[in-house]
Amino acid sequence: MKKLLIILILVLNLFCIISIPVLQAKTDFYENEYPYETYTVDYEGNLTFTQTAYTPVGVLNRDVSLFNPEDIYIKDDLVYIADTGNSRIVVMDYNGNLVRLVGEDELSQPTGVFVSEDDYLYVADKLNKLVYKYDLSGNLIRVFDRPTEPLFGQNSPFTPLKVVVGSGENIYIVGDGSSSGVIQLNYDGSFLGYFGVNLSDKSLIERIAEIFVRPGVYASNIPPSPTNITINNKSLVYTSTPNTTSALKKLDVNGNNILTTINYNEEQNIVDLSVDDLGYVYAIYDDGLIVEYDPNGNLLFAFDVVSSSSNVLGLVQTPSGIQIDEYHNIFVIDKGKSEIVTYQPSVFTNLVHEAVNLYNQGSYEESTILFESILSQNDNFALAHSSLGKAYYQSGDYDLALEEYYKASDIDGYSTTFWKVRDIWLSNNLGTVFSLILIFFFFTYVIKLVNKKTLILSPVNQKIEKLKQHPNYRRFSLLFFMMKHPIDACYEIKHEKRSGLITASVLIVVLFIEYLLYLRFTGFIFTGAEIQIRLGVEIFKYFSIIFLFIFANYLIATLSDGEGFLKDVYISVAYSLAPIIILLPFYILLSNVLTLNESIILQILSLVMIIYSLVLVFISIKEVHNYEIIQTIKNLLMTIFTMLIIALLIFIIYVFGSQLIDFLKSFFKEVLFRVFN
Amino acid sequence: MFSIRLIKRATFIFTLLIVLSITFVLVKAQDDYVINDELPNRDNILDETYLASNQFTQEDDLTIVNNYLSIPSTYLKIAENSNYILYMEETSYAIRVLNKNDNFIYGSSLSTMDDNLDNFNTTWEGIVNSAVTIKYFDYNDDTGIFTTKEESLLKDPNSSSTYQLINQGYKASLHFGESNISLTLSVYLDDEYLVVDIENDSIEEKGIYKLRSIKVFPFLGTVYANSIPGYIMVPDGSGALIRYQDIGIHNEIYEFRYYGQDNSIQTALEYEAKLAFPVSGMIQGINQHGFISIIEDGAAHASLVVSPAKNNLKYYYSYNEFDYRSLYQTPLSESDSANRTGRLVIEDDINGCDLVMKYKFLSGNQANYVGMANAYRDYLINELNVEEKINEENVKVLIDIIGSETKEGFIFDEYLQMTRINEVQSIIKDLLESDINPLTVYKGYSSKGLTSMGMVTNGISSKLGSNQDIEDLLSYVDENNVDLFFQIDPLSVYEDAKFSLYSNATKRINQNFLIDQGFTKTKYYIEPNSVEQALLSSIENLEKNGLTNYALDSIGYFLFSHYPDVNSSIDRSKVISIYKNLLDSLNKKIIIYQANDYLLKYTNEYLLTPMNSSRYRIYSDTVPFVPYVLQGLMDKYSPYQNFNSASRVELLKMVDYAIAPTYLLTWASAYELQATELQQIYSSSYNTWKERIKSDYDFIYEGLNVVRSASVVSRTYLSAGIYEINYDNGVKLIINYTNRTYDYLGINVEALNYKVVSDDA
Repeated sequence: MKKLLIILILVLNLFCIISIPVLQAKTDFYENEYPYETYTVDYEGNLTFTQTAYTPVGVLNRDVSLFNPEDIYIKDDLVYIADTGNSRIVVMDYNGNLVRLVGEDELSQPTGVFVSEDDYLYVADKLNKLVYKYDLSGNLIRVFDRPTEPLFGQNSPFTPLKVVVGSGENIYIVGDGSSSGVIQLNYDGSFLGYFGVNLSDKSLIERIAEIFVRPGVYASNIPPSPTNITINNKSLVYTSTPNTTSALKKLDVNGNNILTTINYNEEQNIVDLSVDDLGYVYAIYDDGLIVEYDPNGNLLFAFDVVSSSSNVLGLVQTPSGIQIDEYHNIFVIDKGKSEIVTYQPSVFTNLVHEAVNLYNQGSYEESTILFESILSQNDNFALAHSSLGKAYYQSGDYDLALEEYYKASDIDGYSTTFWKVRDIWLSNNLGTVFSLILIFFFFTYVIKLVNKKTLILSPVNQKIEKLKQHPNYRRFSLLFFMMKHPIDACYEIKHEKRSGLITASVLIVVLFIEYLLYLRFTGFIFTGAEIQIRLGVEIFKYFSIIFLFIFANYLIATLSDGEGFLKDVYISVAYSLAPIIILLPFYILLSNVLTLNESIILQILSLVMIIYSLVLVFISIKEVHNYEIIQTIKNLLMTIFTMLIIALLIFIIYVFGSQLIDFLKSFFKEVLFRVFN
Repeated sequence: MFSIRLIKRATFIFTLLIVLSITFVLVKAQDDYVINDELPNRDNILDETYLASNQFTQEDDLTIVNNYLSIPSTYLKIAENSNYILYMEETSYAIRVLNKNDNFIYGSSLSTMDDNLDNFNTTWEGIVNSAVTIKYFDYNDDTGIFTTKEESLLKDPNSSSTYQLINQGYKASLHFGESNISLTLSVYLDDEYLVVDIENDSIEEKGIYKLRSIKVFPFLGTVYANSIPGYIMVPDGSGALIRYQDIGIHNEIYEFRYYGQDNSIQTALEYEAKLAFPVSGMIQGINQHGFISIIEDGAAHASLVVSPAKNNLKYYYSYNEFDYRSLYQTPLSESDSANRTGRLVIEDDINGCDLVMKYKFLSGNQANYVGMANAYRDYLINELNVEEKINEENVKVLIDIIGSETKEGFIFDEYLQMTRINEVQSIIKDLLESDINPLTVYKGYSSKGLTSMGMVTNGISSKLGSNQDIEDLLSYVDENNVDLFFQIDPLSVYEDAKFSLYSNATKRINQNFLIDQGFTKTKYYIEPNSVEQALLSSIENLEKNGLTNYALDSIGYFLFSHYPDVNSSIDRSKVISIYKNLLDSLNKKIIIYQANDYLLKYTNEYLLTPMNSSRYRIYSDTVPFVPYVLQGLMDKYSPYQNFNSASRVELLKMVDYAIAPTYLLTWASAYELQATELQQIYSSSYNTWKERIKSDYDFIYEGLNVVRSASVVSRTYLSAGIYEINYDNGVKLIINYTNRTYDYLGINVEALNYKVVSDDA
C-alpha cells in the first residue's frame, strides 16, 4: 500500500505544471512593414512565413460611393460592382472613375454580377428572384425568372445569388437554398438541369444513430448549397460551399469535382472566389483569409486581411467578394466599409507564377532556374522543392531530385526516384554482390569439407560448446527458444528459473532502444518528414504501457487464481516481445532500401512481428498462470480494463490536483491582495 | 595589300568571335536570373490608386490662409520677445500667441469673436476654453469600481486660482473645485519656444479623489473641419499626416503612446503604432503657419491624442495627455491570468514626472513637415546634445550577420553555425571588392547562439573561429577602414538563457513577469538596475577578445516600468535616467538600434529607420518626418530588406528618404533556422543576397551620396508620384514613382527612377 502511495505521488508530481500568464506577441524587427503576414506551405504541409505576396495598393472607389456591395467582376479593364445597398450596378475604370450605372430602375438587391465573353452583363437579384441580362450600354435585353420545367422541382427555390455564363451562353446560377446544386439554364432560359450537387455531410455516429431513429430527426438530409460560383475561360465552373469538408470545387461537364485542394481554414466559410484564365484560384474566407491556389490545387500564398485593428489601409472590415484581373491584382469588396480594396502582386509573386506556368507547360528546365531562384529567396517554399524534384527527375539528375523531394516531403516523388536510383545501383553492382555471395558460400562449403577431414575447427567448436553452457548464453538463447517453443520456454522460466529479472529488464530496454532507432532511422519513404523525437514523452509512453500491463495483469491474476508470481509474468512478457526484438532491426534496415512499390513486404513483416508477439503474450499468460484458454481470454480482457481504470484514476488525480493547486494559488493571491490594501 | 588568305582568316576569326560572344551572352542570360534587374510588373494600371493612397505623400493645397482668430479685449498681454507676443485670459488662463514673423495668431481656446465657431455643450466649452483639464478617479465603495471623471478649470464654481507674472510669462496656482486637486502651471516664452511647465511637486490631492491625467491647452491650433488647408503630423513610424477633411469623414479618435505602451502596466496590444520621438505638429495653412509641440519632460507617460472633425465636435484637434496614475488589472486567479481579466485597481502614488512642453511656431516655407523636421532637429542638437556625426566617406550599407543559433535536438540542443569568423571576413572582403564599405554588426557569436544568450554575453565561441581568426578579422577591418560592431542585447532574454528570474527579470505592476511570446519560447526583459550589470559584464567579456565596438539592441526602443514588489516601482522615466546614466559613463564606440530620442546622442548611426507609417485610414499621407529629422545628423539605415520583395518602389523610397539599405545575412542557408526561434527568416544566405546587395547599392549610391551631410529644405509634390526634394547644399532630387517617364524642365526622369539635379552643375 505504501509503495502504491509513493508511486502515485511520484506520478502526480510528474504532472504538476507551473503556468505562466501569457501576453500577446509584440512586433519585432524581423517582420515586414505590412499589417499582415503572408504564408506559403512548407515541407510539412504547414503554413510558414514567406515574403509579402500581395501588397496593398489603395481604395478603388475614392470618388464613387457604394453601399454594402456584394459582388465584383472585371473584364476588359472595366470593373463591374454589384452595389447591392444602392440597388444598382456600378461600372468604373481602373482609376476609380465612374463609367456608367446600370439597372437603377429595375434592380432591388443585386448580389451577383457577371460579364460574358460576348459582352453581356448578367445580374443576379436576390430580392426580385430574377436574373437580368443587359448589354454593355445598360439596356435591358431580357429577364430570366423561375424555370417552369417539372425537372426543376415544384418546391425548389429560385433565389439567384450569383450568376456566371459559360460558352454557348449556358447560364449557371447559384441560388439561396438550392440544395440540388447549381441551376443551369439555356440561353433562352430553359432549365437544363442541376449541376455539381454537394453530398450531405454526416458523421459516422450520426449515420449509425440513424439506423435506430427515423430519418429526419438528425440534422436534415438536405445538403448545404454552394454559395459562390466562378467560371474560367474554358467554361469550367468553380464553386464554394460553406460548412462542408471539400469547400472548393472545380466541376467538369458532368459536375464532378476535379480539383483537390487542402483547406487550411476549415473552421471558416469561403465568401467568394475568383479564377483567372490560367486556372489560378483565389478565395476569401469570412474571417479575412485570402488564399491562392495554383492550377494544380497547390496552395501558393495565404494572408489575412481582417484584424482587430481594421482601420489600417490593407485591412478590411467585412469581406464579401474577391476578384482578380489578368495581372493578378486582387480586388476585395469590404461590405462593411462599402469599399473596394486593391492589392498588387510583388516581384516574388510574379516569379512564382512564371515558374509554375513554365512547369505546367512542361518546360521543366526553364522552370528549374526560376524555382531555384524562388528557393534562394525562401528555402521553405515546398512547392518549389517538389517541382524542382520532378524537373530534376525528368532530366535524370536523380540525386538532386531525391534531395528536393526530401525537402518537399514528397514521398511519392521520392519513392519513384529512389526506385530509379536503386535500379541503377543494382544494375551496376549486382554482379559484384552476387559474386561475393557465391564466393562466401563456396568458402564456407570448402571449410566444412576440410573440417570433416581434418577437424581444423575443433578448438573453435569446443570453445563454442563451452560458451553454450554459460548461464548468460542460456538466458540469451531463451529468446529464440521462446519463439519456437513458447510453452516449454514458459515452463522453464517458471520452474527452472532459466532467466532472471535483470535479463528481462535488459530486453525491455533493448527493445526501447530499438524503438527509438525505429523512430529515427526508418526510411523516409515510410515515415514522411523528419520526426522530432521527444525523449521524455517516448520514455513515458513506452514504459508506462508495458509496466502497466504487467502490473495490471498480475493484479487480476491474483484475484482469479493465477499461479504466476509477478516476477514470472514480468519475465515471460519480456520474452514474448522476442519477435519484435529480433525482427525490428531488419525492418529498419529494409525500410531504407525499399520503395513504395514493395511496401507490402514491410507491412507483412510488421504484421508478423506484432501478431506473433501478441500470440506469445497470450501463451505466456496462459502458461505462467496455468489457465485454460477461456480463463486466459478473460484475464486479458480484465487486464486491459484494469489498465484503463488505472489510467483514468491517474487522470482524475491530475485534474483534481491541478484544480486544488489553482485554488490554493488564487486563495493566497486574494489574501495577499487584501492584506496590502 | 592584304592577301586573300589573310582576309579569309580575319573574317573567320571575326565571325567566330561574334558567335562566341552571342552564345556567351545567351548562356549567361539564362543562368543569371537576376530578378531585381527587371522592373516589377508595373504596367500596372492600378498606379493611380496606389499613388493616391496614404502610402505616399499627396498634393498640398496652398490656398492663402489669413487670421481667423483675433486677440479679444479680455486677453492681457503678458510677454513679448523677438519672436512672439503672449496673451492670456485671466479666468481661464487660455492663451493667444502672435507670431511676429508672420503676424499669425494661434489660440488655445475659441471665443465668440472667432470665425467658424461651433456650438459646444458646456462640458466641451469648459475643456476648450480652460488652460488645463484634468481627469481623476472616483472610487465607489459599494461597487469597488473606479470611475474616471473629467474636470476642466472652468467646470466647477468652487474652482479657484491666483497667478503672478514671471519672466516672460505667468505662473498660475490652480485649484480644481470638484476634485479638490491643485497644481501650478507656468507658461512663458523662451527665445524660439513657448514653454508650458507643471512641476510635479506642485500637484496636491487635497481631497479623496486621485489624479489620473492632465492636459494643457488641448485645443491649441484647432481647426474647424476643412475650413483651411493644413494637417496634423503624427510621428508614427516614418511620419504620417492627417489632412483636414469635412465633418464626419473620419470618426475615430486616435491615441498614440510615445515610446509604445508600457506593457508593465497595460496589457500588451496585438499591434501598436511606434512613436520614437515625442513631437507632433499642426499646420494651419501649408507653407504659411504652423507649430510643433515637443515634450521635454514627461514623454514616457504621455500620449498623443488626435481627433478628426466629428458630428458632435466639428474641430480637428491634437494634444498631449500626461498620465499620472494608471488603472491596471490585477488577476486574482489562474483563469483571470489566462483571460486577461481581473480586478481593476489604481496605483497608490502619482508618478514623479514634471510636465514640460515646448511649442515652436513656424512660418513661411518652414510651416510644413519638412520645416517641422528641421525644427525638431535643431532642438535635438541644442537641447538633447545630439551631435552631427557624418564622416566624409561614401554611403554604406548595413549588414547584420548572424553567427549562430541553437536548435532543440534529439537529446542535446544542436548548435547551428550560421556564419563563422572567417566567413564574416569573406563577406566583408567580397563587398569591399565591389566598392561597398559595409557597416557590419556581428551577432549571435556566443556559444549559445543568438537567442539563447543569457543576460551576460560571453565572448566569441571557439566553434566559430579561433583567436587567430578573430585577430585576423579585427586587423582586416582596421586596415580597410570597415566599422565592425558586436551586438549586445542587455535587455531581452529568452527563457532558456542564463539569468536569474527573480533577481533580474522585469515585473509588471501586478507582480507577474513581463513577457513576450516568441515562436518557440518566451522572452523576458531585464529589469533596469540589472541592465548595467548585463551591459558592463558583457563588454568585459568582449574586451577579452579584443572587441571594442558594440551595437546595443532592444535598449533603444523598449521601455517598460519595473515593479520589484508591491510597494516599490521604477517608472519609465526613471528607467530612461538609468539608461542615460549608464551610457553617459560608458566611453565606448557604440551604435544603438532604433534609438528613441533620449538615447540619440549616444549613437553614431540610426539603425532600422522606419520607412512606413501604420497606414491608419485617418492618415492621408505617409511622410519622411523621422528620416528628415536625422538627415545630416547621422547616417540612417533601413529595416531588413530580407522581408521585402525586391521592389523598385522600396529602393526609390530609400533615395527619397535618404536611407541606406540593411540586410540580415548568414553564410549558411536560412533553411537551417526553420525549427528555431528565428524561423521567420526565410532567406539570408550571402550567396543569394550578394547580387541583390550590389545592385541595390548601385541604384541608391548616387542619390544618397550627394546629400549625406545636407539637410532637406523642401519636398514638393510635382504630380502624382513625382517629388522634388531640395537640399541645403544646392542638390535637387527628382523622384519618379510612376511607370512613365517624367519630363522635369527638359530633363527626363525615367519610370521608377530618380535624377540628381545639382544647382552648381
